[in-house]
Formats: sequence, structure tokens, C-alpha cells
Amino acid sequence: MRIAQLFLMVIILGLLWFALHHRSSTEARAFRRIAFLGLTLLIVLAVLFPDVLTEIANTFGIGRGADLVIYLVSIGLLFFSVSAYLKFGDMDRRITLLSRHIALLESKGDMGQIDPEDLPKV
Amino acid sequence: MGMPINSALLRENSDTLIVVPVFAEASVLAEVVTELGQYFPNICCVDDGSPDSSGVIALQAGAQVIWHPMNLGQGAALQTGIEAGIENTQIQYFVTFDGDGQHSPTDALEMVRTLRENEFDVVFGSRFLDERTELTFAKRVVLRMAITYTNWLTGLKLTDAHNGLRAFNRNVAQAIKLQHDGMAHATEIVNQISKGGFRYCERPVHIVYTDYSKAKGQSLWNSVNILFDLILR
Repeated sequence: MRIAQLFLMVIILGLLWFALHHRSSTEARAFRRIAFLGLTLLIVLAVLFPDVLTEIANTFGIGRGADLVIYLVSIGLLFFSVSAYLKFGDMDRRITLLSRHIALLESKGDMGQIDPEDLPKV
Repeated sequence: MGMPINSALLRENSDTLIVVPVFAEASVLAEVVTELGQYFPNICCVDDGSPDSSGVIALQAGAQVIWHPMNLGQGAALQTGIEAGIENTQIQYFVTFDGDGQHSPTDALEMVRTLRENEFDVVFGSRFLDERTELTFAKRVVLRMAITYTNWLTGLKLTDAHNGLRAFNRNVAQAIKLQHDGMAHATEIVNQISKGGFRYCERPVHIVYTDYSKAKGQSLWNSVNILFDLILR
């Protein structure tokens, strides 16, 4: 296995683990911002100095600079997908708690004696 | 329907709450509630944001109804119904019962009777303990895989994982805190019962797969979603 492949695998798995275990922590937020800035910087550099990028890629055993960018973007996308998935899950849970609370409050005391006027129109 | 009301039976079961999660069951719900009403006086239908008139129908058929302001999923509906029952201190036993007519009230009655003997805290319904329930091959295979996974995860020894018919006492009801809104709650309930160290058993139940319940029931593809929900959170 080439060093680049190993390196990327470690990064991907590490990010997944990180996303799963530290999703709402301060570190996670800081990490996301650093990753965002880093990617932005990398893109700017890639546009300005295509040759440098290729050199970096070569040191990792990757042929072209563009390939390196593709790999990094893939990792970023995967990371984004997982954290978005988890975040939506957290939000769903909050909405559920709120909605269930409202439902129980509304039913309290008049279980089975709901005024027909109050029923949803169907 | 048309049967004489057995008031002694109803009085005996006045300490039991039947929790029926309801989502768009307008065509069968009246019958389900009426049949349950022959045996159980307290029926709590949780209308999980149905787009049809399910909740009103349940109310007219004699159930108590709690309305979710939006559709949240069956797990959330069960949790709401259970919490409503806990608030009422006269309720000692809880039964979860599907609203699509696939469960039989007499099975529920038997399960509550088992609970009254106080040997068990939970009675799970299982369609694999006798030959009454007819299943397609694919459904059988997926359910077997589901129960193997659930048993492995929880350490319990059950024969049926995703059966909506269960009965449990107040202690168990207070221990159940469902977080999975969707269908993964079936495994979650088993897991929380396992963690609580409750005494459990299974009773054979008859699941009637009508065309309606088959059309309404879960697609087998949903097992993929359930597995995903359980693993990645």
C-alpha cells in the first residue's frame, strides 16, 4: 500500500470517528472551522500555484495535484455528510420532545372529553 | 361489535391502558377501537399527525385521543401514550397495540392476565411460537435477521423482534424512554427492558395480515433504514 493511500485512510477513519464522538463539542466546532479555512486556503493556493500542489501530491505518491484536491474534497464531503446527518438527527429529537410535550399538555385533564369544536377540521 | 359488554371484565381491566399509535388508519380504526373496547375501558390512541380523520374516528369509537402536532413516528407516539398513562396513577398495566387491525384484543387480554400473576414484568407477543401467523418467506427471513441482531445486542432470548403487541407493568413503563422516533424503537424497547433487568416472557400471538395491514405495513426495505438508525447516531 502506498503511503498516500494509508494516509488518506487514516484521515477518513479518524474524521468519521471524530464526527461520531465529538459532534457537539467545542473541539468539533473549532475543528470544523479550521477544516473550512484550510480547504479555502488550499483551493486558493491550488489556483495560484498549480505546480506546488503537484509537488506536494508527488511527495505523497499521488500523481497530480488535481487528484490530491479530489481526495481532500471527497473527505470534506464525507465529513460534511456525516455531521449533517447527525445534526439533523439531534434536531429531530428536539422537535419530537417539544411536540410530545405540547401533545401531552393539550390532552391533560380533558382526556376523552374533547370539545368537538376543537377537533382538527378534516 | 354487537357483543354484550362484559362489565366485570371491563372493571377488572380499568387498571390497564391500551396505547395505540395511529397514523392514517381511518378505514379500520373504528373497528379496532370498538373491539378493544369489549375488553378494555382505557384506550389511548396517539394520533401521530394523521392527514386523515383517524383521531376523530378513534374519539367517536370511544378511545381517548392525544394529538401530535405533526407526524413524529411510531416510537414517539408510543412514548407519548406511555407517558400519558404514567400520569394516571390508577394505570398499572400497559399494552402497546397496532392501529391497523393486525393484532387481536384477546391476545392482549391474555398478556395482561399473565402480568397480573406477577411472575413477569413484560410480556412480548411473538408470531413465531405457534403456526397461526402466515408470513411470506422474505418477511420471515428479515424478521429472523432482526431478532438475531436484537438478541445479540440486548442479551435477551426472544423469538420475535418487531412485534407491536407487548404488555408491561408500571415499573417497565417508567423505565422506557424511547429516543428513536421511527421503527427502530422496537429494538430500543427490548434494549431498555434488558438494561432494567426486568422479568420477561413471550406469548404466542396471532397476527392477521389483511390486505390493508400488508399495504400499510413496513416495506422490507425499511429494515435497512432501521439498521442504519440503530448503528449511526
